[in-house]
Amino acid sequence: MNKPTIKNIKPSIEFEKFYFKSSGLRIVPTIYNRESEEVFLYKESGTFAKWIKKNYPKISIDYNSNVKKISLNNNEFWLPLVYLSSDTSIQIYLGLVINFLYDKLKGALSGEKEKAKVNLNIEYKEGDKYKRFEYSGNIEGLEKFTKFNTNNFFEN
Amino acid sequence: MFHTKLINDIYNKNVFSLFYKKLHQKNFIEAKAILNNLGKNIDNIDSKEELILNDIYLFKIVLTFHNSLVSLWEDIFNQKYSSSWIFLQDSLDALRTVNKLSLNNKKNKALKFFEKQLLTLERLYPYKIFASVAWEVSFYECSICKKDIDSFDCPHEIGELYNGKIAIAHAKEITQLNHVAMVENPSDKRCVVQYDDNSKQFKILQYLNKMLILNKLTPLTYYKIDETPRKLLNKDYIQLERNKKCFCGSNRKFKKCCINKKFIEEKHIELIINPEFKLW
Repeated sequence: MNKPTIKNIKPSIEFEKFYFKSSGLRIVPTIYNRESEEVFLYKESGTFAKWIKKNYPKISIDYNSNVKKISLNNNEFWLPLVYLSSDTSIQIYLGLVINFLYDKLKGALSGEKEKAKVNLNIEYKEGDKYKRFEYSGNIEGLEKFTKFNTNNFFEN
Repeated sequence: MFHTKLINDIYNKNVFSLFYKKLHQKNFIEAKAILNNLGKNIDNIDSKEELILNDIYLFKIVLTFHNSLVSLWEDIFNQKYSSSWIFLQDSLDALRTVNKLSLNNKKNKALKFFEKQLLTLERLYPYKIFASVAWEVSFYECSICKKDIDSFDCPHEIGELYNGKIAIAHAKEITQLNHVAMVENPSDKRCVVQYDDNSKQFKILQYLNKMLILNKLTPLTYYKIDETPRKLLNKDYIQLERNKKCFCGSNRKFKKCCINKKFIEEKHIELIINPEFKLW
């Protein structure tokens, strides 16, 4: 597991608007090719959104599937960029991601579950500052971050 | 493994024992005939109950697994190593589906044995890097309701069973090929650079074939791999005085160059064959 890194960043206006005025989470299409401004949804976006809706019906999801998808043959669950509103904690979201990954790995053959690797980027508001948290490692390592208190998430 | 007594009973009637015996004897034709008959029996079950229909689907996947297993060993026996890779991947994919759909995600002893055996076999093939294609797709259609499977309008989840039918996402309107990458861990390992069956890349498979023909190995043999590197004597090594120029031509002193290269490490794979696992 690589040591997580934290950087100061500037948030987008769209995110700030969602963060303060909405609830739950929003699945956001992103630019895939740097040369073009066209936005895509990663292939697993719909699967992930429907899985949350089915298993956590109380969580509000803002999701529009009517966007072009980008699909890879690489053996990865490529989850979408997600905005979390002020009423949804990172811990809750990480819990969702972990449960989703374990659910999707139910068919894994011996050794495949252990090899599963997670890359995660979180941009987070702390006081007046926005920071970015980067994690790369296994699912078990990610589980540790769900146990932290929201108020001192980054101190931990 | 199954959710209903009806299908569990059919599975446990020991018909697979005869199949395993035929496979062990490398009687591939009769082994496939047994599977074919089992398939016909399962097709004759008339039910509208969702659990039974789902179990029938799972049973058919178990048959697909065994059929691929026979084709895999038949190809290795007939020195068709390149095409045997496809059947190996078919077998492993079928096992993943069994893991996912079976009761409590648990499979029986025989399938556990094959999972272990086939994962070992996979390591004996020369394929380590695979082509991965990225597509841009307008939407994915649900194989059951024909709606956009990524939308909330479609009630189905990819890979889940509904009345004996699995929900599959069919790519509609592939607008562009974005890129092709070479990756180590693709979702589909069938996209490989093909080698000739006689090539040195299939050296270990050629050895397996020899063992099969000599009856020292059968499709039911349990084997494992020892990948400990071997130390070989370096034929070019010349023992010199420490301060002399090295024999390798580097112009450096022997003590600062090849003094510790008397032995060289070579990649070595040893196949450890154990007595066969009895499944009948």
